[in-house]
Amino acid sequence: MKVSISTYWKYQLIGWGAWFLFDYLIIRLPFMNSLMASIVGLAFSHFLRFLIKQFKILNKNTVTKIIYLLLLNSIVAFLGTSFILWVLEVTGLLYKNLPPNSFRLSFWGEVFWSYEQTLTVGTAWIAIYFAVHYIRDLKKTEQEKNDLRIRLVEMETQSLRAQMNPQFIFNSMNSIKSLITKNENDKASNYLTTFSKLIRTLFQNSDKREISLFEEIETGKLYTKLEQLRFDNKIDFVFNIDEAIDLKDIKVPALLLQTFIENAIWHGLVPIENGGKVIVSINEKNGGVDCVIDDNGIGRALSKQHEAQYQASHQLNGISLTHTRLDLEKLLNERENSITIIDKKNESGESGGTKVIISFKENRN
Amino acid sequence: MIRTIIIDDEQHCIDSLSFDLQKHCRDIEILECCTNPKEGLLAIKKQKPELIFLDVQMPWMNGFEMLELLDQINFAIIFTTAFDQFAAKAFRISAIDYLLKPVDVNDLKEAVKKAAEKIQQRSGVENIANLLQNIKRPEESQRIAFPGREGYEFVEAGKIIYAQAEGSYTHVFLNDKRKLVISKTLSDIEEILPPDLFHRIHHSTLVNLSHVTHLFKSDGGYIVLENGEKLAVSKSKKDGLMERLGLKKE
Repeated sequence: MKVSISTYWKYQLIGWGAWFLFDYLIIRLPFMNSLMASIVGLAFSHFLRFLIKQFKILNKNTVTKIIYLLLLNSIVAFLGTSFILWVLEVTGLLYKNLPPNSFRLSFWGEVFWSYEQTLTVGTAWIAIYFAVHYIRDLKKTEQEKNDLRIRLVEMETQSLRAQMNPQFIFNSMNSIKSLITKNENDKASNYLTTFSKLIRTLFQNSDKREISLFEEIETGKLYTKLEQLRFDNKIDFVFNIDEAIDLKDIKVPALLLQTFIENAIWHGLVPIENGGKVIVSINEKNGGVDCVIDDNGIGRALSKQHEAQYQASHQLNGISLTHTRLDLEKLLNERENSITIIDKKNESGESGGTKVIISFKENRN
Repeated sequence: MIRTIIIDDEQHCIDSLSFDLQKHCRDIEILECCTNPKEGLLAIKKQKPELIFLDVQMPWMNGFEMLELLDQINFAIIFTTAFDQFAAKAFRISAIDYLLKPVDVNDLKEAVKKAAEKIQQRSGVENIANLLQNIKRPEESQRIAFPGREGYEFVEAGKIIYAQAEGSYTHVFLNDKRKLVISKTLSDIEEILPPDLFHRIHHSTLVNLSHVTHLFKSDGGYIVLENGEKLAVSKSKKDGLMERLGLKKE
């Protein structure tokens, strides 16, 4: 609620400076009188501000505010008038410009006569003071609203990120169960450990806006290991990572790679009897980093064709979710991330899988 | 013995289900296990099973689409799914048994028992046909399967005006002036009705909002339905109702 010193003093000096110029140049009061009036005005309005702060009047309701201000204004204006007249009298400035022997009021008479003027000035000062505060408050609430909106967007992205396809989680559980029933204890315990590792990273990263590319790749590796076990090595995974890149220095939205690997498996490779291969490569490019997820599956066109109507609506949102996620990140960070999806063709022009390129430009901390 | 086929694209699901069946359901005879719907269709034609376990989500063709390719369904079905809220809802509305993977043994026994009854009575086929229709319909024209003494009555959701609790029974009022008495609680009924259409206005009243014509605030608050009937709105549900109707709270 407090007006910062600089702004307050800026307004004060401009205001009282203008008052001085008005007195001196337009009303043509003597120089010293005009100067004195402005200095005393500055001092007493500052005193008024001190009282306003002291009584915390800004926080009071309208009626109390008005009563307080009327009271303070009349007291301060009275003190101010008395003070300036006293100074002027002591310095002899008060009667300097009057012709000798003209009618003179007593000192208190002068005070009473000038009181009306000072009251008006005081009221004007208070009006300006409160108007400035009101406008500042308006701006502040607007700012707070904006902050809140951004926080909301962040929270939404957070809840999106925290999601791993539940289908995957329950199917993993079932894989473990089947290994146990078949008495394949080593495999079961291996699977369970990898699964716990993955779940742990998900928990750890769920409250983060973004994680390092290193962590994301680790999550991706765990995920692919599980899917490999689940499909009895029907699907092959290769990670090609340029060792010159400091992966821990690059921040990416959590579960981004995983979402695309999952899409490659489920919409590209699973429909193929003999399985296939997913190649994940990380390369430096034009100062940024490209993450490429390349599969030799059935391709998007064929995949869409074979997706059941109702499934299409709620399963494919993996990709669109990530799109919104990237858009949001872009909005928040003003970074130019982009996704390019290439439908590959083999020599005879048939669909030969899908290649997804996610580019992070200048995405360092 | 119940002649049974399992259809699931994931081998580990087939493995663990057949393990549980062999161990806990002795009257099940597994004739064949298929890892894709095409094999499944062939196996059904060849083996003429009495019961199939069918996974909902499979590549190329899901369980529902596979069923639609059959000329007639003369076997009982137990659906299996890992996590599919859309399908789960369709199952509940249509009163179809389904199992969540990994499968709980007690749920499995229960489902097999019910299936065995259906096989004996040669019933349940109608529910499947209704399910296959429901998954393609918008909510207001989905047909809800209400259990009766001798089977099910299928009622379009849009034709239900309101439901009222009567002890452990629920009276369901339809727009053709009929009243169904269902031996389920109002909360059970609420679960199978589309939530976008219905709203609880009182602890004992669930109303289809598209049949409401007036809302009166006097006498503690009540609504008037198309057929002129008045229903009381409880104090605690008033704000929620106003919100649902797009009105401002007081």
